[in-house]
Amino acid sequence: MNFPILTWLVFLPLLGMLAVMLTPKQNEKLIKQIATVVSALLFLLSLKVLMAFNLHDGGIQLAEKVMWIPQLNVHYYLGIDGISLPMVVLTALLSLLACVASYGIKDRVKEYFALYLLLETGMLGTFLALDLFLFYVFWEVVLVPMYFLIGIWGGPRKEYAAIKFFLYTLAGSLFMLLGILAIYFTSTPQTFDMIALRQNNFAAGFQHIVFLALFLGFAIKVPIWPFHTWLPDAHVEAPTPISVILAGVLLKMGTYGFFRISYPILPEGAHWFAPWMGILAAIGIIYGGFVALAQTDFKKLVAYSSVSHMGFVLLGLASCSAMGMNGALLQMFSHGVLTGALFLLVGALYDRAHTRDLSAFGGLGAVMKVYAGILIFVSMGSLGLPGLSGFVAEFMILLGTFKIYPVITGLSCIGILLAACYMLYTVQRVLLGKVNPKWEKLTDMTGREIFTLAPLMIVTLAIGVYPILILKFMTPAITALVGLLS
Amino acid sequence: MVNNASTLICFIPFLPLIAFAINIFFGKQLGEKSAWVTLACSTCSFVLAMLVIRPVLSGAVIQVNFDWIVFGSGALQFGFLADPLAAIMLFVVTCIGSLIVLYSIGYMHGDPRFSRFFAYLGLFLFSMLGLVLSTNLVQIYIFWELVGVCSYFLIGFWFEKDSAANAGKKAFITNRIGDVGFFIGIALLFYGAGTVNFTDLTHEYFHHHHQAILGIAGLFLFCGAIGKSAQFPLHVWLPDAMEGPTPVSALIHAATMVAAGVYLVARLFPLYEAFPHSASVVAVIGTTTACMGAFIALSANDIKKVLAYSTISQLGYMIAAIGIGAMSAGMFHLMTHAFFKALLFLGAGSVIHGTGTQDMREMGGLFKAMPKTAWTFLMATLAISGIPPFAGFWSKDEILTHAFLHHHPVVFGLLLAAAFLTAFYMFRLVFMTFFGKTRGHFHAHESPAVMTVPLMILAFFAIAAGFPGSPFMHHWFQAFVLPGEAVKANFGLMMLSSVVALSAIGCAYYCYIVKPEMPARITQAIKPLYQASLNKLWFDEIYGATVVRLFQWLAGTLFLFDQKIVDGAVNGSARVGLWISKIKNWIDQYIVDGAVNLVGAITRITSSILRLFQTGVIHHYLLVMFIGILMILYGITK
Repeated sequence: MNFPILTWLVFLPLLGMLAVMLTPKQNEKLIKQIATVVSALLFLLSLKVLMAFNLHDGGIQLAEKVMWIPQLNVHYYLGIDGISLPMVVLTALLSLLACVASYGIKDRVKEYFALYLLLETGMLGTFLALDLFLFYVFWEVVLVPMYFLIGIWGGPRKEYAAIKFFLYTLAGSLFMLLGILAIYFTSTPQTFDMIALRQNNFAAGFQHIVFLALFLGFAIKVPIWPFHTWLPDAHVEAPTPISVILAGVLLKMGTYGFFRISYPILPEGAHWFAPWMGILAAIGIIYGGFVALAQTDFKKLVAYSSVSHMGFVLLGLASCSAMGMNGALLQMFSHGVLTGALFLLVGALYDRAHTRDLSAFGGLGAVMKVYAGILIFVSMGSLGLPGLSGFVAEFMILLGTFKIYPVITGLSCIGILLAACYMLYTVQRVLLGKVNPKWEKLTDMTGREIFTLAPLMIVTLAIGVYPILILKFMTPAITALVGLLS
Repeated sequence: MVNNASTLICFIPFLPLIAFAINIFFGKQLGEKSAWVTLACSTCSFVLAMLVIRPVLSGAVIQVNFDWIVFGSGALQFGFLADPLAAIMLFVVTCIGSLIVLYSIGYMHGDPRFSRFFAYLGLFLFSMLGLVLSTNLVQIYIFWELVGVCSYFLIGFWFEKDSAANAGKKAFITNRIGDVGFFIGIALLFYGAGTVNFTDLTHEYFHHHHQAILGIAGLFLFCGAIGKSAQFPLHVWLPDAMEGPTPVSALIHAATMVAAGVYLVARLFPLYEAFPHSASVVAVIGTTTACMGAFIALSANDIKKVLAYSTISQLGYMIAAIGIGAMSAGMFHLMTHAFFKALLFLGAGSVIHGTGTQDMREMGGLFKAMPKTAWTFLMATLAISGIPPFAGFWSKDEILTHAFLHHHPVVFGLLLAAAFLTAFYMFRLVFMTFFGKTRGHFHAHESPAVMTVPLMILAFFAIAAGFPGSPFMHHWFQAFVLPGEAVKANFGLMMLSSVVALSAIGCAYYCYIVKPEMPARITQAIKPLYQASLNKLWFDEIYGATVVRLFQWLAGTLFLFDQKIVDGAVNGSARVGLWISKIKNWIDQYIVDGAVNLVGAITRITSSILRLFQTGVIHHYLLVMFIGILMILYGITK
C-alpha cells in the first residue's frame, strides 16, 4: 500500500475544512478558492480510483485496513467495489458542482464552506467504510453539517425543516445502531467487519428482526413511503447547492445501506422482506407521482418526484435479481445526476425571479432560451426518455422485477406515465405559453451556471446512449451480490 | 454488396442526427441556411437507403448488432436490420422526409425559430429511421419514444399559443398510456419467449411455442400501436396535433410516425397469426377506428382536421388489414397512403400558406388562383378515394378483397362503408376548397416552386405507387413483403369498390356543387347524428370528465393526505413528544422536585413552629417551666 488513496478521498475535505477555518473570514474569495480546489482534487482523485479499478473483480478493491479500537475489534477499514464506486464518483462530481454553485452564498461564508467540506468527508466515508462502526460514525457525521447548512442558510421555515430532518433521521439511526449492535454481539467472532460478517449464517428469525431495524434506519434516509415527509420540507428550505447534495447524495446513502449491509449480511431477511419492499416501492412510485402532480412549488415538485424515482430503486432491490439490482444502482446514479440538475435549474430560476410558484411563470422559453433548452433536456431525462440515463435505469428495474412481481411492476409502470404528466405540466407552466410581462427582462444562464449543468447533461446523455460505460463497473459486483443472496 | 450495405446502413439514421447537432448548436449563425444542412443530410440518407434496399430487393437480409446493456449473464443488443418490411419503411421515410424538408424551406420562411425547426426535423428523421431499422422490440421502443418526443417538440413548436402547448402535452401523455401497455408487452414477451429479436420471432417459432402468455403479450404490445397510430380509443391526440406546422403534420402525423404502429403490428405479424384471438382484437379496433374516423371527418370544417380524421380512418384500415391476416395489403396501404396523405397535407399547407386560413367555409374557388396545388391535391384525393388507377385504389382493394375472400363479412361491409364515407368527405373538402366561389376575404396566391415541386413529385407517387402491388406487376409488392403469399385479383370486387367510390363522389358533387343548400337540410334531418360527428363523439369531454378528473382528484387528495395524515403523524408524534415532556416537566417540577421541596418545607415549618418557643425572654421560659411542673405534679398526684 504505497498511496492510501481512499483515505485521501475521505480526509482531504477535512484538511480543506481546517484550511478554511484558519483563513480570516473577510477573505471570502480565498475561502471559496480553497473549497473549490479541494472539491476539484477530490473529483480528480475519484477519477484516479476509476482508472485504477479492476473491471473483472466483483469484490473489494484498494482496501485499507488498520486496527482502530482493539477492545471492541473495530477496524479502520476502507475499500471500494462496483457498488460504491459509482456512488463515490457521483459524490465527488456533485460536490464539485454544488461547491461552484455555492458562490452565491453571501452570509457567513467561512462557516458555510467549512461545514460543506465536513459534509463531503462524511458522505465519502459512508460510501467507503467497510466496518459497521466506522460506517455508523460517518453516517452520523453527515447529519451535523447538514443540520446547520439547512438551519442557518435555509429559507423562511429553516429551523423547522432542519430540526425535522435531524430528529427524523436520528430516530432512524437509533434503530440502525440497535441492528448493528445486534449483529456485532451475535456474530462469531464478534466483529464489525462487513465483509467477514457475510460468512456468518445468522438464524432466520434473527435476520428478520435485524433486517427490519436496519430497514427503518435506511428507509427514513431514502426516503421510502411513508417515511418521506421530511424530504419536501428539507428541500424547500435548503439553499440550492445543499438541495443538490441532499437529493443527489444523501438519499442514496439509504439505498446504499441495503446494497452494502442489509442484503449481503442478512440475505434471508432480504428475501423475507422483499415482497413488502416491492409493495412499498410501488406505493411510493405512484403516490409520489400523484402528489408531485398537485404541486405548485417547483422545488416541492422535484422533491416529490424524488420520492417516486427512489421508489424505483427500492423496486429493483426488491426483485433480488441481477437486472433489477443493476438497474437500481444505475437509477441511484442517474437520479443523483438528473435531480441534482433539476435543483440547480430551480435555483437558477429562483435567483432571478425570487419565486418558485409555478403558476407565476409562463413563456420563459422565449426569454431564456438556453435555460429552456437545458430544462427541457433535464425534464426529458427525469421523465425517462430513452437516450438519457433515467430510461435505462427504470427500464432495467421494471424488466428485472417483472418476472418476480408482475402485478406490482405493472402498477409501477403508472409511475412512468405520471412522470410524463408532472414533468410536461411543469415545462408547460414555466416555459410555454405567452410571456408574463413581469419576466421579460430575466437574463439567460450565466457561464457559471452552465458550467455546473453541462457535466451533468453530458453524463446523463452518455449513459443513456451507451449504458455499458457505467454498467461494466457495476455488473461484477452486482453478480457477486446476487450470488450471496441465493 | 451485402457487406458494403451493412456498413452503409449505419450511416442512414446518423446523418440526420448530425444535421440536428449542427442546427441546434450553430442555428443562430446559420440562419436560413440551416434548412440546407438538414436537406443535404436527409437526401444523403435517401441515397444510402436506396443502396441498402437494392440487395434487399434480391432477397438479402442485412443486419448489424452490438451489445447495449449487459446484466448478470445476459445482454440486450442494439443494431440495424434491413429486411423487406424495413426496406419499404426506409424508402417511404427517406423519400417523403427529404421532400418535406424541401417543402418546409418555403413554408417556414421567415419564422423566428427557423433553424430550430430544421433541427427537430433532423432529430425526428434520425429517430424514425432508427425505429424502422430496429432489430428488436426494446430498440423499437426506444426510438418509438424518441419519435414521440420529436412529435411533442414539433406540435408545440409555436409554444406561445396555449393550444399548441396543450396539444403537444396531450400527444405525449396519450402516447405514454399506450406505451405503458407496450412495455408490459415487451416484458411478457421477454420472459414468455426469451427473446425480443424480430429475426427470432418467426412464424415457425410461434408454431412451436404456443403459450397463452404470448397471446396476451400480443395484446399489450398492440396498446403501443393504438397510441402511436391513433387508434380508437387513444386517437384523441392526433386531431389536436394539427396545431403543429403543416409540414410536420404531413411528415409525422400522416406519413411516417403514426404509421409506426402499423409497422409494429406488421413486424409482429407471426405472433398475431399464431393467436387468432389477439388478431381479432386488432381487427375490431382497426375496423372501429376506420369507421369512426371517417364519420367524424364528415362534419369537420378545418381543412387539417378533416385530413387528421381521415388519417385516423386510414390507419384503422391498415390495422384492420393486419388483424384479418392481410399483412402485405396493410403494408401496401401504408406505403400508398404515406404518399397521398403527405401530398394532401402539403397541399393543405399550400392552401393555408396562400390564403391565411384553415377554415374551409372561408375558402372556395381556389382552383384558378392555385392551379398547381389544386391539380396535385385532386390527384391525391382520387388516390385516397380509391379511384382506379390511382395508388389508393390498389391497396384499399387488396384489403377489401382479403376481407371478402377470407370470410370476414362484417369487416368487409364496414370497411366498404368507410370507403364510401372517405370518398364523400374528401370530395366535400375538394369542392369546398377549390370549387365554387371564394367566400373569405383574401388574395390567394400560388406557393413558390420550393413548395410546389415536392407536391408534383408526390403526385407522381400518388398515381404510380400502387402499380407494384397491382395485377399489372403480378402483385410484386405482396410477394416481396410475404414471399409465397397467394394474391388473386378479383375484378368483381374492383368494380364494386370503384362504383362505391364514384357514387360517393357523385353524392358530394350533388350536395356541394349542384345543391349547396342540401348539407344544411340533411344536417337538420339527422341532427343527433350530425351533432355526434361535429362533437367528435364527445371523446374529449368524456375523458376530461373521467380520466383527467380522476387524476386531478387523486393528485389533490393524496397531497392533502400527505400533509394531514402522513406528515400529520410525524408532526403529531413530535407534538406528543413535546406534550409528554411538558407533563414530565410538570411532574418533575411539582412531584419529584416537590417531594424534595416538601422535605425542606416540612423542616422549615416545624422549625418555624419550634422557633416560636425560642423567644429568648426569661419570663416565657419560666412560665413554660411552671406549666410543665404543674403538669408533672398533676400526673403524679392522679
